[in-house]
Amino acid sequence: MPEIPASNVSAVRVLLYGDVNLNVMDGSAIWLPSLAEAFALTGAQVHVQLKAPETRDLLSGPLRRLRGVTVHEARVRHGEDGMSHTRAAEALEALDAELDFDVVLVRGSEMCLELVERGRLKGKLWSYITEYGYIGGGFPDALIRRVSRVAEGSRLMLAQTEHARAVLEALVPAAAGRTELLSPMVPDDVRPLPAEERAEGEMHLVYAGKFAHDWRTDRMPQILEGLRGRGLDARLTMVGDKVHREPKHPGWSARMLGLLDSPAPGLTWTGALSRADSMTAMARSHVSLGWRSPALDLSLEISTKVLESCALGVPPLVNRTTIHEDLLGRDYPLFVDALADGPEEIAERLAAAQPHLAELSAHVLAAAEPYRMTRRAEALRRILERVGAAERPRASARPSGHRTKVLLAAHDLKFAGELVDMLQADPDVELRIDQWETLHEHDESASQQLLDWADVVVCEWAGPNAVWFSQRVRPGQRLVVRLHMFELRGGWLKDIDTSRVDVLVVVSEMNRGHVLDALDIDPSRVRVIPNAVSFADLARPGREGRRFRLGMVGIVPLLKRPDRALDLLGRLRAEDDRFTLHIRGRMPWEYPHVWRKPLEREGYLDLFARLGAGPLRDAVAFEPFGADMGTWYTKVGWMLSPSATESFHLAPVEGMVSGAVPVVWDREGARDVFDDRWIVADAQAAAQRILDAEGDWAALSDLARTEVGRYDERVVADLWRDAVLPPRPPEAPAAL
Amino acid sequence: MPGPKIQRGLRRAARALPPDARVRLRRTGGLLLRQLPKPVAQEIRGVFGVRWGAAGKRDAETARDALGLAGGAAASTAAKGVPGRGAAAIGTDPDASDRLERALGIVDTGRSEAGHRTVVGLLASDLRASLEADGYRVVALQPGTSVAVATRAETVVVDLEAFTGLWAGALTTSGVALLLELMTAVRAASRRGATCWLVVRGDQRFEIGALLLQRQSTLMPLHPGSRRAPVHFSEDPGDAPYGIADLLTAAEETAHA
Repeated sequence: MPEIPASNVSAVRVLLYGDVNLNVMDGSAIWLPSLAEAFALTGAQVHVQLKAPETRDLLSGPLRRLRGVTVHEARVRHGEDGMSHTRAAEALEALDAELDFDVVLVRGSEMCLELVERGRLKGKLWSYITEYGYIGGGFPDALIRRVSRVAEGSRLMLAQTEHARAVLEALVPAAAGRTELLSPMVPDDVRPLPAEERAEGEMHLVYAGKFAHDWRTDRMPQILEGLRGRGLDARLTMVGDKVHREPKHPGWSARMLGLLDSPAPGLTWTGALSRADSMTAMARSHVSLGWRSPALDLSLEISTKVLESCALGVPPLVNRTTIHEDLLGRDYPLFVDALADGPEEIAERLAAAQPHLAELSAHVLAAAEPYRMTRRAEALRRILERVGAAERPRASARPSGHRTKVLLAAHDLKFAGELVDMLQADPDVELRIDQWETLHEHDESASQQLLDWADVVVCEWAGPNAVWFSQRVRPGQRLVVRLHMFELRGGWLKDIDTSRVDVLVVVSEMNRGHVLDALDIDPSRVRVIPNAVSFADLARPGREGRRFRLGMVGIVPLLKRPDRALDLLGRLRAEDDRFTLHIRGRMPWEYPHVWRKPLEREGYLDLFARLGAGPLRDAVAFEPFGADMGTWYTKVGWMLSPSATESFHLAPVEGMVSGAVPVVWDREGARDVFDDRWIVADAQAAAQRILDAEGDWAALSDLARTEVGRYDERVVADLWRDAVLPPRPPEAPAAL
Repeated sequence: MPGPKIQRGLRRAARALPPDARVRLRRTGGLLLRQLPKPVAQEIRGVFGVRWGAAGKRDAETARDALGLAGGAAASTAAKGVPGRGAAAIGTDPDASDRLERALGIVDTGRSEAGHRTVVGLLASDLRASLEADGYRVVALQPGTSVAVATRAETVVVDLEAFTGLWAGALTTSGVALLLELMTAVRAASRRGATCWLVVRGDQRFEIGALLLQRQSTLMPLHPGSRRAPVHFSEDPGDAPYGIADLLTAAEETAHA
């Protein structure tokens, strides 16, 4: 990990708003005070805007008593029981106008959309959306469209689990690279009861919650029966009083009530209990029941109730799902096969686990630790650091009249994500964007107005935008231009008035050389700022078996040399047929300007034909272009860079952050970006390198990840800040 | 717009200039034209036979090939001005799989010379071996071409033990794109009347994608190791040969190499 700059979290101001009513005790309402507490633990100044006037203080009372938390009343009109989205947006904007928050964290897609459409919280909105589920109906198209719009206008998106993030990034490209995890949390003081306060008996089960068909509450007494039938002294306590009506299952609720009203031996129905008493009932038990219908198994979220059970040291009996396996481990003995198991099988499993309950209790207690409030506060602090708020809180910003006015002009901002984020997050900067229609076309009068306004102009791409601005910047106005590579072929390049360019940024030393060859420019003005990668985003846990997977991103044009990758794959498979090649990107025929070139076209047709007719066909996956690269890299063990030329080659560098090992063919400039150890002469050397690494892959992976710390977005942001912002004049001494 | 004769004359005159002068003239002219309102500049360019936006159209017209691969360019779906990775988002090409298969060569999904059926799908090696031993041809689906191949399938088998190699991770949330492709392939086959089987076995059967596949109406689940679900004796006394279904049900509950 790169070195973290000094933090000033205590000056960070955070505003929280949940589209939830704190007068109603439910999971989403409990979330708001929990989050406020976790943020307060980071040391930040926390403000919470209420949605509804308080009619009881079950949740808002403790919230008001938290240190470092300020609660703001709901601004409702007479007769309204809660703020509409518009009213809430007005309230949040008014608070922001007064306090200039670093973060405005909002839950709920409709509310977030309202704020994005209004556009006044740009650069500080963190959107937390939980309404979506897995594919296959869980994330309908209309919701995808709404969430996409929200993601486009948010500084960060928040997802509850790694799984929710993966699905979000796969279906909402705008969320890729800007989604952080906001896990559920349990208070630090939710702990197991001392042994003497635990329930007596051999197997005391507890269920707390609603009574509903898909929650299988009507079949839980049969588990009890099964246990008692096996000679165990078993009890079941059921807590709650909400019995669902279940129109799809006529007679179900009457049957459920009947079971509760005339309980079987060993069953106790407590009715509704306070949250504290409900937790005590759970803490006294040996196992909590969370058996559900398989219809509920496609959730991407962790149940807070399951976490609370774990935090109390009470092993939960839950369906075997990906989420629960992640939490409790694959070998956890209290999983239920929701499709196959009935009460008898479950009773059998519980009876078998009974002698190991103490061991299981310790296991689940440990599983809950990462979700404790203090641990979540640490995670929030890291996010505050990632977005630069901890380093540069808005409270320390210059007065608005003294901020640097930066204009960013470009037709395409796909490589400028980190730059935009950095400029937007800097409280001493006011950023405006001059969006060019195409490389050549723009609204001249709008550009002129923006130019008149700006202190600094940044041209992303040294295209005709750089020509236009270099010929018009005022004396004293700063001009920064970033040149990628294709511009070197542009007929316009020589029209850039280089005498007016303060800094010309290139991504590698090689490009610096090309620029100095092509342009009459003072060499001291040409600066190398590498492409940036985000450790916070890309350093994700790798997947099993990745050592046998080669990855390649982009095979167009032919100079990317997919033929070399295939050559390498063939050599590897001759030794070990577990190796596969995963290619991600668009096909050459999707680029008309490439496909109309006979040489390129014929080259590709030949390549595909040979691949199709040969033994490698079953070993190459062509995966569609997608923005969710962070997830994709986790399955790749070796990131290939076989190109004949590259100015930087971001994909293998991103892969390295995720733990993939780079294999870079030697070419001009490769050694400026990658260490010598990753460079190979040809496919034969590459194959040898990979085969030799059989036992050392993990060490190489660690090494690769460590090495690319110099390209982390926070390190590169400092280089950009230095290039874009004029040196700050010394502060005038304060008048005495 | 001037006629072709005038345009040809102007172009001939331009060609008569030395190359340097021609470049200077074009650049100066371009610069001047860019100062003018768009419709006026367009008219003047037309005098020289240059059409606005013609380059893209010309690219598309000339980017042809004998296999009909061209035309798959998907439009950007990102909103204008979105910075970062999301800016590169594109829509999907419904014919992407067909185009790629044509480039790689069409896979034969017909019956074997001996008349045996071809099974298309994802199969672990033990299942593949047992099908081949019984005379079936097996064609593996691959990411990228699966939809095109499945569309011609007579029967499709998806074995939960076969999500390794190219399909590794498709049953997890990190493989959303792969699973969506597979589900599209199964739907395409099913729509044409092919029977699609899901072999529910192995450790991955509790992965979220496996749970989703088990809920698909287009896939018939078979549980190796389980007895055939009883039906009325008048319909099946229990010994009718169900061909491939019998073979799949007879597989091991966990695949072995």
